[in-house]
Amino acid sequence: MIEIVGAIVGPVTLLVITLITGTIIESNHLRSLDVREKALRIGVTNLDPGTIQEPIEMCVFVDGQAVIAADRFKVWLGSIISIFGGEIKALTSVMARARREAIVRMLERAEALGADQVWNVRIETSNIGKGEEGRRGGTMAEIHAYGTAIRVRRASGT
Amino acid sequence: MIVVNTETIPGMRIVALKGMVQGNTIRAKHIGRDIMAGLKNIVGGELKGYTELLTESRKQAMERMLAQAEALGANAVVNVRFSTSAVTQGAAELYAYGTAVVAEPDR
Repeated sequence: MIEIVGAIVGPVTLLVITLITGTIIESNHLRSLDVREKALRIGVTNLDPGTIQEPIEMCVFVDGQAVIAADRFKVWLGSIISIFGGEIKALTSVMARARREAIVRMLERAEALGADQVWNVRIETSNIGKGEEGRRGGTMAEIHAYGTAIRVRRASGT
Repeated sequence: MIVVNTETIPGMRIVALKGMVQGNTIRAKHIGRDIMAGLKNIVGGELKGYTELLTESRKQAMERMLAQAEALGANAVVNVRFSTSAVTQGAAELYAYGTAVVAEPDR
């Protein structure tokens, strides 16, 4: 009887702990993303810059990356949902956060270089966490966002 | 050396094509980072060690690509693309490729 209780309490405790840590980490991350995204004053698009009419002063390559892992609770929730099918919202939000982080980093770097726009943005996702046999492989993905940072010469001369 | 991921260089004119250039590197994660990553995989959050590792590796792949472009006498690399693949367990390949060109300022 005690063994059975022990066998249940262990994993359940882990799930509860990771639910708490995961929720704290996620809400802190979202708050920081909101603040940093609001602070950005840079234009961003995934269009080719061939359409720019103004003369261009500066043109550099910029990128940003982030590797983000889901907590064990989210992975467990995902494995339960994948029995029945449907959207795994908990993991969707992890990927969305990682993507936002990579984009914000790219834009922050572009701003630090003095650019006012980033063109031709590409976002790539690579799976680097797979293939660890024996362990239930954690969900983690690397997001790489890259583009061309540009500063146009203003007609006013400023 | 100018590096852009666009087909043309804004504000510049491409005068000569030097061909495709590429660079790659395969990096294994080291054990210290793996332990931290294992922990982060349980609690969730960003794996800073991996972010740094991939940033460094990608920079190296890009440097190799730029060295090739330089050897061809180019002064810019356009249309840069990246690709990442997991070749063996615990190792990732970072690959960067683009087209080496000679460009000069546009008036």
